[in-house]
Amino acid sequence: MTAASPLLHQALLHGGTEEFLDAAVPFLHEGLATDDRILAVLPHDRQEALRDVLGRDGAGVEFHDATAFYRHPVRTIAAYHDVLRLAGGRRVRALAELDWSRRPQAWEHREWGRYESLVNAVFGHSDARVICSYDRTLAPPPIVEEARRTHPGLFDGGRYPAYNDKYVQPERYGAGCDRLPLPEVPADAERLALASLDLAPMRSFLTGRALRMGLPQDRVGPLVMAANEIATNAVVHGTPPIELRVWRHGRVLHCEVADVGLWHPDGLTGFLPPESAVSEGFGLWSARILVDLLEIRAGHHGTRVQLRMVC
Amino acid sequence: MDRRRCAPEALSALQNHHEVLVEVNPEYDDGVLRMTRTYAPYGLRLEGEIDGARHQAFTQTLTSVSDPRDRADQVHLELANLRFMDLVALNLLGSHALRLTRGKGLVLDNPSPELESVIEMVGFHRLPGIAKGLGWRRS
Repeated sequence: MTAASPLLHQALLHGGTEEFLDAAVPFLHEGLATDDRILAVLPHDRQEALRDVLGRDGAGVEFHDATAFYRHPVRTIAAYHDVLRLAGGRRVRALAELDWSRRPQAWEHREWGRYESLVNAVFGHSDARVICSYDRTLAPPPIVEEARRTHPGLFDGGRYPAYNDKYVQPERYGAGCDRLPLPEVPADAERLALASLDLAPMRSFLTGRALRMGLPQDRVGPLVMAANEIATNAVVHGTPPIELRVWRHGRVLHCEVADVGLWHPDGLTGFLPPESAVSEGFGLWSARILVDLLEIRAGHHGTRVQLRMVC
Repeated sequence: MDRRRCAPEALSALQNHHEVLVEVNPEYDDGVLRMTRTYAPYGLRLEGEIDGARHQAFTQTLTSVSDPRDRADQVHLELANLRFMDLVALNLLGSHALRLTRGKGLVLDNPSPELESVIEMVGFHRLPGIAKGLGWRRS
């Protein structure tokens, strides 16, 4: 049994606006009374409902649009990390709900589950108070069920927390996400062997192919930067043969670096925001935030790191 | 003439009175990365690309330039022709600038839009001891 963490991270599973307000309003009033730094990151209609009920008290709450804030899980963690860093001694209180009307893809479900789990690891030592709100009538059922595994605390249709025995520790949760298979490399993928630390040929190759495959010009730089980091790691630590592969599938450009060496990243590798550029893990974390998705699969077959950019 | 043997004040006096062909010998040039000392402002001009094959040369050159015995100026890095800098080099800049910070640190001038964008995403606060000089699109 692990020691209780100071972080309060609860899921609110509700069936609509009324139930949402039943839990959200007392939570926010609590924070207003203690001068917490309060963020409400919500879809538009929830914001409106809350503003109506809070009235003038709403001035003490920072409202953010959920769609803008939640574009990218690893960047969102870094954004919250910054909020905490700049809170100046005030407790941070967050009420959040994703906008599920956008119909995310399966891999996005998985990565947002991972994000929720990471909150426990990244902010476990802070005294932040966080409620993540899930509308059972809008959010896909697997997502709602997943909330039980990523939140130590739970409001399930009531004003008071319910018992939750499904919570999974973040490292185990992340490792579970990494067991799902990667998209396979198609036969017609473009390939380049990597053997030297002089990766100028690789950068030139990747830049040309990415542009030809339709990646917007301003997205090429971040992709090449991230790929260069992964390729450098593979050349330094990996086992040849090392190969870079590029292909496009639908709207997504894939870039993968594979070698036959063994790596043992844990479920949190490169997800936690580093304190500074000299911290360990800075390179991999930076690569994660530069691309839309970075996945690592390491096993007896070798190591594959696959980057995705939506074109 | 060998510019390195010429004191900066004398050099600028020369520049004021003559058309000077500014052909300074670079500190390092391997065909992909070229590093050249600058004197006004004081520092290093980086051209080309920095990656794993060049980290050691980069660290050594940066160290030799950053240890100015009698200089009070900040050290400037001119980046207008630097097409690529990898994350490890950015990391090196971070650690180097920290050591330099006896108040001064490194000033980055004219970063490419790509480099500026990466620094923005990574978070400027993660590179302590680095200051924004000329040519940044966002202050």
